[in-house]
Amino acid sequence: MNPAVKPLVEQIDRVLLGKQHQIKLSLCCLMAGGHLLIEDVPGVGKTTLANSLAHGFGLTYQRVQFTSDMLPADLLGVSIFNQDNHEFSFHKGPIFSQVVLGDEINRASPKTQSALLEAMAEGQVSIDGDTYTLPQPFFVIATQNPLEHSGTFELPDSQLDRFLMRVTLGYPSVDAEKAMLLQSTQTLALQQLINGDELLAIKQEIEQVKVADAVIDYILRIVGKTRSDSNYAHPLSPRATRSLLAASKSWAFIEGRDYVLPEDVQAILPAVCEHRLRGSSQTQAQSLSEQLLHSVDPLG
Amino acid sequence: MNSSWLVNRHIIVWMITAYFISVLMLLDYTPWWILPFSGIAIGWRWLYVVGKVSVFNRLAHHGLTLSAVAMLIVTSLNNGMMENMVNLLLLAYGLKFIELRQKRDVLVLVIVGMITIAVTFIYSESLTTTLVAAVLVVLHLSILLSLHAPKMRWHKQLQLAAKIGALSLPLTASLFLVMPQIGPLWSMSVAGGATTGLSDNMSPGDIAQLRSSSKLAFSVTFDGEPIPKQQRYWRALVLDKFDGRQWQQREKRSRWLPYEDEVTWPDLSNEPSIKYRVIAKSSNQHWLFGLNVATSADNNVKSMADLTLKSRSPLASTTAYDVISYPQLASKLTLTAAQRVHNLLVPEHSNQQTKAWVDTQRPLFDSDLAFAQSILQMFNEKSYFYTLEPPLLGANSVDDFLFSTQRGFCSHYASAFTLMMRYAKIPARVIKGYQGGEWNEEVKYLNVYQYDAHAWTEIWIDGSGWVRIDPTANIHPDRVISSLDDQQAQPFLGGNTFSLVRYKQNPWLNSLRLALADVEFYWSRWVVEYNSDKQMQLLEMLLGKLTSLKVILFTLTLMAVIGLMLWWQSGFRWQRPTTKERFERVYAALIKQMAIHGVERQRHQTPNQYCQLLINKYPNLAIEIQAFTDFYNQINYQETTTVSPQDVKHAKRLLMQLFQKI
Repeated sequence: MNPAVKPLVEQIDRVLLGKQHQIKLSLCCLMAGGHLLIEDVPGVGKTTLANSLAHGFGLTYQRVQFTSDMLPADLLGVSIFNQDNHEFSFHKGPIFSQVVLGDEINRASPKTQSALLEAMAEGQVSIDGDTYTLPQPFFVIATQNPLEHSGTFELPDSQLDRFLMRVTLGYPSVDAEKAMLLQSTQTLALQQLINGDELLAIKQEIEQVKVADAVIDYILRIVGKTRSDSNYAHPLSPRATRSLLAASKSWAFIEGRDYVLPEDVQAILPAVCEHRLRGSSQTQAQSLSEQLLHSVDPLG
Repeated sequence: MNSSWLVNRHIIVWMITAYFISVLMLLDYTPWWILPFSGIAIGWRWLYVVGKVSVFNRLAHHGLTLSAVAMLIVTSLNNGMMENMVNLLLLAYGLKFIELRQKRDVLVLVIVGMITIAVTFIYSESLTTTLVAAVLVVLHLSILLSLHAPKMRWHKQLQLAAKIGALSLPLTASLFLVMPQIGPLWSMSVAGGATTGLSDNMSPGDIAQLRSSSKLAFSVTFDGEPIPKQQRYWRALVLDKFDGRQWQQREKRSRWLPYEDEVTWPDLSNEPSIKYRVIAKSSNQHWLFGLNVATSADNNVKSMADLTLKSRSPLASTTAYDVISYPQLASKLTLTAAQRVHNLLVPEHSNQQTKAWVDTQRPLFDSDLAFAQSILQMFNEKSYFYTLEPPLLGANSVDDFLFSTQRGFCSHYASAFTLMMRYAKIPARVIKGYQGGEWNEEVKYLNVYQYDAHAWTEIWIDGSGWVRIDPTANIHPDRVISSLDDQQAQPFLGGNTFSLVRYKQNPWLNSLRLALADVEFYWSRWVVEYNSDKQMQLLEMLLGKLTSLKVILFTLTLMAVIGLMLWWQSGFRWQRPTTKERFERVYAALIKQMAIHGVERQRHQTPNQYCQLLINKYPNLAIEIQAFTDFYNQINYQETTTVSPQDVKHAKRLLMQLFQKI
């Protein structure tokens, strides 16, 4: 593993036991400059993961708890009439920070969800005809409950596509859970391990990661498979193709390589593609991305 | 209108271009009235394509077609079958432009165009024709291509069409070289029976045939200045045996052996001479052409005692030879007694009227020459007519001609004059050859056509040697009756459309022209004159003694080879693997080998995962497997440069090490 990333992973691992792969995926997503969606049932540590990621990067951090009665203004901010100078002044909402943790995002109404849309895609917010640029880097880490749980609104496909990765945590193993119980209930102090400049340098390094034709062909074969095979109701978009490449490079960096291997693609593929392939319908039991992975030969 | 093929305007341009090139190639054989008809059709088509006019009026369409047919019928009366057919073809080709409605019509147009190309070869087999025909074929192929691949760019279509055309060349060449040449299934009236030039005898009437042929007999280039027109008597044959009606060559031993014992050549070193080169067209005859007195140092040319030149083998193809003529040498030669006897021989019991007349006239003159002059004067002053359509003569042809018909052309006059000389005991002989020729001032060469064929007389005057006398030239011009045939014999070169001759001032173009002339020469020699004899020679050279089995096997093999080539070109083949593919194959070999040993690779496994799988199975081979996989990963994923042959070699070496350990 890359020495620049290793302490981060280890620190989060201490908080969220036994979920190293998901931690790495989350880091990979953020380093690739993408937004992260963490999906699972309540209580498996979604918020913990999001929280520790934000802390580890040392970025300004706001947490928004989405509820069904939440309005876009609650997220973006409001203009309030100032009695003293008889002017409207804009009060920035929680979205104006580098890391926004949208907790239980699918509890909010679609109207509020879509307020996130512009922010995530453009890195800016438009309110009352004024456009406000969001601080950089800007990450949205959202968590959501599986749809079967009551009181949720499914995220629209367009918004799902804007999340580079969707990570599911799953229940911890017995060993991990035991270790968790044995751990002191006192919250561990999370340290800032990477600052903004370092993150920028990392992003540049990831940009330099070499991608051989063989890997690009592999990615294209994967994407092509979803488009030609009728099993896939939602074929992968070109944005998904780009996301696959960006995530693969980021993963290769985390693995401490300056070139991408097919393994990198395979490692990030479920996280990058599953929510896109599945769309909003959650009916199919078998993982589509696993199926896709097994049907494409990395050697061509 | 189905305009799908009209999407590209260039297809119309190509069709029109193809039509006009075809017409241009047949221009000398095409009557003018075809041009307006096809002009209307093509002009309308173009205006229609650019959107200036509407659909062709049905009445106008039928009117145009019917008037074209009427024109064809009217003119057909004066033409031979062949000309009419060519006219019909060109007319239909032109008028088809009105009817381009569907793809099918374009196909018809292309097929008619291809037939027109074939027709041009009836008239000319020259290299230029062939090259222009090749261009036309490519153009027609492009039209077909744009019909089926309308989205392709026009220059790509041309390129592809040229490639397709080039692909057919091996097949064409081998068909040409080895396929048995079948004789023509029908004969054309284009080329008459006179194309082989002079015959080896002369009876009244046979030169008239030649005079209607405008084929080139031979060309001459002079080293110095050309000789004046009056001197251009090209001797080909000496006929000195007369049977009362027909003049023939004397039969002495084999006819083509020189009479070496009969001629003694004087010292030639100080003689004035004319040097020139004759390029004779094929005639399948032995005789060559030269000015008096012609000698040649060429191996294949023999100098005969009658002072003509003969080729050792018949002229099967265009042949060039160098000649040196000594115009004043005639007086220095001697006449042997045997020769004198030969040239005085007269047939007994024929033409007695002439003999009697000569016997009465000869004593009136004191010299042979004066007597000869008196006869020429008689031709000039008495009512002797020159005509190419003389009345038929009886058994005593000279008597009939001199005293009753008095109409004839060169062979009549030469024949009569020579016989009269012989009766007067003056050695005389008939010379057949060509007189005159068309001098091309720009390129400095003389073209002698078949219609320049001529016959004249030579008489022996002691002290002057053989003296040329052309009795035909002494007919009074008022009594020359021109005929239809004479008018048809038009000078030929003036109409030549593709002539570089006018650019002669430009040295570069001139040298190009000369180079082209050389190419044309080789073309005539190796392609046009390639006949079944040469084919047999070639096959014998290749196969040894010919049996039909050998020929069949050879032909089949050749066809198979060409078929394979075309198959190869058509894309159904193994492509030569790139180094990248070869590199991949090394890895595939590992997978295959391991599958035999019971380790199946899952489809989704990456090299590293597969490597792990192998190491689990063969822990003892861990190092080799890892090394090989690392190298594969490095080349395939780490390096951004292309795979080099060395990489393939190295991978193979690693794999070999691995296999050896198993």
